[in-house]
Amino acid sequence: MVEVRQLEVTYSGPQGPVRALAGVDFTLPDGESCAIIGPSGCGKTTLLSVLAGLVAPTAGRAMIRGQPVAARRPETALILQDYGLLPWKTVEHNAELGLLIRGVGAAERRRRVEEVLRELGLWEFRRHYPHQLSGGMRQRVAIARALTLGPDLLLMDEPFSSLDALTRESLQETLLDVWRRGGTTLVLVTHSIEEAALVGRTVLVLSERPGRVAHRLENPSAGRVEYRASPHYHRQCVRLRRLLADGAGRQAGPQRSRRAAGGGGAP
Amino acid sequence: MMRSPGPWGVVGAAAALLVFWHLAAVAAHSPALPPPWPALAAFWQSLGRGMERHVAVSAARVLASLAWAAALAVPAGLVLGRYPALDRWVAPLIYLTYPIPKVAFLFLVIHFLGIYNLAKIFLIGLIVFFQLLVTARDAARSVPRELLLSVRSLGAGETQLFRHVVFPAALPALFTAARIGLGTAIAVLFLTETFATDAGIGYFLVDAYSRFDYAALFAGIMAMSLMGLVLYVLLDGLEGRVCRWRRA
Ligand SMILES: Nc1ncnc2c1ncn2[C@@H]1O[C@H](COP(=O)(O)OP(=O)(O)O)[C@@H](O)[C@H]1O
Ligand SMILES: [Mg+2]
Repeated sequence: MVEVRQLEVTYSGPQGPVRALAGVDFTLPDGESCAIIGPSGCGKTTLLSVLAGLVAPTAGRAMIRGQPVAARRPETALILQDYGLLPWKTVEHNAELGLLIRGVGAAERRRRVEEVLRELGLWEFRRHYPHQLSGGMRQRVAIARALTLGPDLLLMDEPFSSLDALTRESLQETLLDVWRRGGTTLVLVTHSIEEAALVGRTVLVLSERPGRVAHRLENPSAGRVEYRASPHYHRQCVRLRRLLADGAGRQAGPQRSRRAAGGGGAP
Repeated sequence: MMRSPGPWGVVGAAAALLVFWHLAAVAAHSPALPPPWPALAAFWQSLGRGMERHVAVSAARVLASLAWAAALAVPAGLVLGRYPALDRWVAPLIYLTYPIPKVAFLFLVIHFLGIYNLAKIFLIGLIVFFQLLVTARDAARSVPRELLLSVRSLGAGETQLFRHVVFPAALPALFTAARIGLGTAIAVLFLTETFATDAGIGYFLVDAYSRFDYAALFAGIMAMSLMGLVLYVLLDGLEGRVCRWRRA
């Protein structure tokens, strides 16, 4: 279970403190999928970084399976939009990096990397370098690298936003295939309404910076096969679009002085 | 990435240089600038009479200098680039000492390290050291944050970040710096071989000059340029192996 309580993150920027998150609250049962959507700069990446243990909360807390998030929770995997792959490593060496870092032996690394690369249709490309692959293939490698670790929590930051529509759809299907097998909680940050509605059985709409959960949309059919073609999906997209326009337009929750606090000023 | 010149490129460049040299020699019409052929003949004769030893000694000095400079400058530079807090203290030190012509310390180096190989290798390496240090630091600084983040999220500690991200990311810049450093090193090599040695191309040149044997002098210059070529080709070959991803 992912449990986020009154989470606040304030960065110390060069022009004084920057309040990225102000009181984010949500819980997510194991094995669920959650999409997070919100205006750019509202703290989505920050929220994922906290869950990944890369950024410490300024106040409040984030718990995973009852434990406060630690810097190196080995069962958490993070996939970023770009730059996640090392240009100097081939596909197979990129894919095995997490295992290598965790000290997994060579034979076991080979076995797991082969399994995952085959599953994602990357096996023929294992000797290629990232720059020899299309954007979609590269993102596939990033997913492969995460999956070799057998994560129970998969965090993704706008993973498909730079891909063309067809590639994006095919990767979304790959991702959902993986998720449907079970055992993995999925948290996906996206700026695409369609993607959020397709993937997230729960969709969190964040407010403008400093981010907080402005709306929560229950979307229990998400992740089902063929959901994309159903009228229900389209209705959910419309609903989400409205929530987003509403949540992004103004701050949710108690208004007072939040804005002033987020706007910087004397350190 | 710079590629090694192909064999035909080298032949073509050498031919062009010889033609230019010949024209210059005809125009100058002076014993100090002999035409190519006597010099080539002198070069040919010097082979088997010690020229190989001079080249080998010089190349060894240059390589030893590059090796110690790289061994110290690269790790130090990468660490400085990763830790701005540390760099804030060290950077002024670097900027104060970097511009000093290290050759100015020749007398000091000789005083402490003697006049033989150690002093030469120290002085040559010192110059290359700064070039590599500054390059390594800047390269480590400009590693994309997202790369570090994503590898850290795989559980990498600081040493693993250096091994898998910072060092490989800096390699292309380091090879460029090594190439520039190699040129400097050979130039300084000549200076350090003008004293206290009886081997090396610098020595060979000074010796030829003192005998007013201009043909031999130019034979030595040719040997020096060939040595440079070989060292560059070696460096490029090493880069090709180490930075394979850039060729693929
Ligand atoms: N390391 C940092 N230092 C200072 N400010 C930051 C840092 N990272 C992000 N910010 C700021 O925090 C806010 C939220 O950033 P981010 O979480 O990246 O938003 P999003 O991913 O929703 O676009 C932005 O205003 C951003 O400029
Ligand atoms: Mg972001």
